[in-house]
Amino acid sequence: MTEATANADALLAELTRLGEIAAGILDGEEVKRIITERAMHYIANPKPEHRYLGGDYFDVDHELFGRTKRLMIRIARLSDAQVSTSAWVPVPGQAKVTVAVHNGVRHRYYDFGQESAETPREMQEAFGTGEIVRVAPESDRAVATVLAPVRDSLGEVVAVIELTAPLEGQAPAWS
Amino acid sequence: MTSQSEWRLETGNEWVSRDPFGVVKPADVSKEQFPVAGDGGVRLRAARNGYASLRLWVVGSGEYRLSAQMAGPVEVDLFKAWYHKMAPGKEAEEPRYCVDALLPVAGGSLQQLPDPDNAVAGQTHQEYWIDVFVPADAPVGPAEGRLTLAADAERVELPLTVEVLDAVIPDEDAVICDHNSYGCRWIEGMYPSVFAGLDGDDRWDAIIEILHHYYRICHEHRGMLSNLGSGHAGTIDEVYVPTLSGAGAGKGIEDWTLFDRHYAALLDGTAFATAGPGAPAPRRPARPVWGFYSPIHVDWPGDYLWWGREGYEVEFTRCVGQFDKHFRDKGWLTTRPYLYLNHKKRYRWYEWDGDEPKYAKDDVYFLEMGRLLKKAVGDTPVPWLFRMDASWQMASHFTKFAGTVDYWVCGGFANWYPEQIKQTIARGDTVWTYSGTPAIDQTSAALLEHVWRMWARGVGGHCEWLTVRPGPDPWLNCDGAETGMIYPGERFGIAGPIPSARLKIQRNAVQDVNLIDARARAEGRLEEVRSAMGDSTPVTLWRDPPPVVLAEPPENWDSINLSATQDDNMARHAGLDALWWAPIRRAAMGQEAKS
Repeated sequence: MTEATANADALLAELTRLGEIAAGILDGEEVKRIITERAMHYIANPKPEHRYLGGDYFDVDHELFGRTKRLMIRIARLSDAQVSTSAWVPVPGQAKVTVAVHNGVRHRYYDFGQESAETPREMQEAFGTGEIVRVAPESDRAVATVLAPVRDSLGEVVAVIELTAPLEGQAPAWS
Repeated sequence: MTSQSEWRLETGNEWVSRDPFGVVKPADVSKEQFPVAGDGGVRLRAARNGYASLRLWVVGSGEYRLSAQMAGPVEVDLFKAWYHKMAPGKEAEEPRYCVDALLPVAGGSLQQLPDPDNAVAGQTHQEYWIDVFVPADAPVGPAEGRLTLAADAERVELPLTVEVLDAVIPDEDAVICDHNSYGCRWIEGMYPSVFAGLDGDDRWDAIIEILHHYYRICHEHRGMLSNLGSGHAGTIDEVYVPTLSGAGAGKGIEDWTLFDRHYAALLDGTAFATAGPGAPAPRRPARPVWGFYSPIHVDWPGDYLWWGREGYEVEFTRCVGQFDKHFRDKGWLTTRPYLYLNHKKRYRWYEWDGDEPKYAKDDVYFLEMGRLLKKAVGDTPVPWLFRMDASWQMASHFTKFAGTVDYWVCGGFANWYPEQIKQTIARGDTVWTYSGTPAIDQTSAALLEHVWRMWARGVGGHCEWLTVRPGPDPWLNCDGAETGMIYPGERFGIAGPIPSARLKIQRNAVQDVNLIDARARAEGRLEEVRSAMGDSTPVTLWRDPPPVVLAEPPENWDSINLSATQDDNMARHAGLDALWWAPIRRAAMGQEAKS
């Protein structure tokens, strides 16, 4: 085992510990309602000729957003690693996801300004199995990620929490 | 290399550029005339304490030297224009070249045409920008000089006469052209040779030094650099903030070292006493910057985890109070630190819009931030401002946030609210506007629309939202450089920024406005002059809003029902003639009818 692999394994173990906490305490009933219905409509139905339309209508429920954000901050601070967190929710009727709320700047899946994205394979796995999924660093991306399922009152996985941390280095304020 | 053709010099005014083959840029073609030369050579009129400029083309082939001589205190700067190769359009076409970046060159230095670095096949013309600086104490009357082209045995001389006017351009600008920028990480990518092998404090020192050069180039061009440290995610690089320690009641500012290294010279003005690399010695007074983005944002110094709780208020007020005290202790009482919130909810880090708020339900956050700022700094002599970049809700915000927000930077929707803006200015608030910058293939004088509009409207400044990042390859695959009228000098061995034709056109226009404004004020007829000149200037100051604005709340507006966006670049729709500024120049030079 190389030192880099050992570091990645240790980080993944740490992120898994946080992911288990996230899966246990985040309330899917709240997370799934953070983005307002109208905002989600425009996320699901973008008009390429009006590229700012989705942003024009993006809005959230202040209370649900705030509670989820604070919980994710607290979970991340349980670790000494620089953990960024994102709550991903499905775009209704599509094989896409969008971020409802996030913290930090080192994300594996979010591109700045992005309104939605095709659901990554490993995120599909988290939604489908309801299990925590570990995503090891890739050669071009020195971050480790754990995906934790969040369930609603019916037991359905309605969101996935991404916990991502860099193997080394500081995250920039502006990139 | 031997000269293979006859050499000549051609001249033109500052607003009309040509390609490397001598063809006028299509957007700069005009039926009007504004000649700068006649039979007796170049003849310029210039007020004192400022610049007069012209474009000059060296035509020929081979090696040459260009120089300028002036008698007396008048100085001349030479800049070689870069021909930006424009990115290909959708349809196959011949390469297009546009002028903008200006490389400072020493008079008499060896040059070549075609320019080997610019690498334009078949280049026949090399454009130069000539800046003539007339000091405030220069004698009134003609100042004589010449421009000289020397190539092998050939020598072409062009007499240069500057008619120095009695008028002195005020040091204080009537309007502020603000050059906005975000963070400092871009600097390392633009100046790889500077940062090779640097880390730790050396790296931050280099970043600070180059940032200072950007402040300098803006200052010398009668503008201002604004550099925002905080990112959308609530993070901020350490060069922008004093170091904090502790949490809750024990949280406080611990170390000012890096912050002071960055800001002290900007806040006491000493940064402007020295020139940036490649630039002439400073000609503007070394004064503190007008204002700067304080590091305060929703996650600094208060921890957003505790937003709305006692802990956030304690952390915020204690640390901002210490920040204010540091400014008082240092005597930094001129520069306006502003509280500005740049985050947008669409990026999902925060639940409310700090920038361009659209939803009235977000207003409570602004009111709370305003309350905290007042509580933190109290009755301080530090001239704090609470800045809002107002957009969708600006009409209601002007009223609702009176006494909270006092620095308004308004987007394009400002077109619809002349009375509200006048009232906001009248109560003592600072009101600016913002927009993008016209691309380099558009009319060269298009960016002056903003200069004119801010003065004619009576607002104090205009922020161009990004002017230091001219694109991934502005030299050989230029995207129009709408986000950068200040270029990195790295390619030319200059460890700092170099100017552009747009920057200098803007500077000269600010000079004109300063002269008109000062003269009108002295005569007690400012509004009369504004109105009279506004009637004859082809720039629309105010517009009626579209129907949806009257029928629906801002929450229901969008880029479809408005047929516009808050980010719209106003200049794109101006359709201004290349020489539209010429009557304003004539007025500034005292040649207007005395009506």
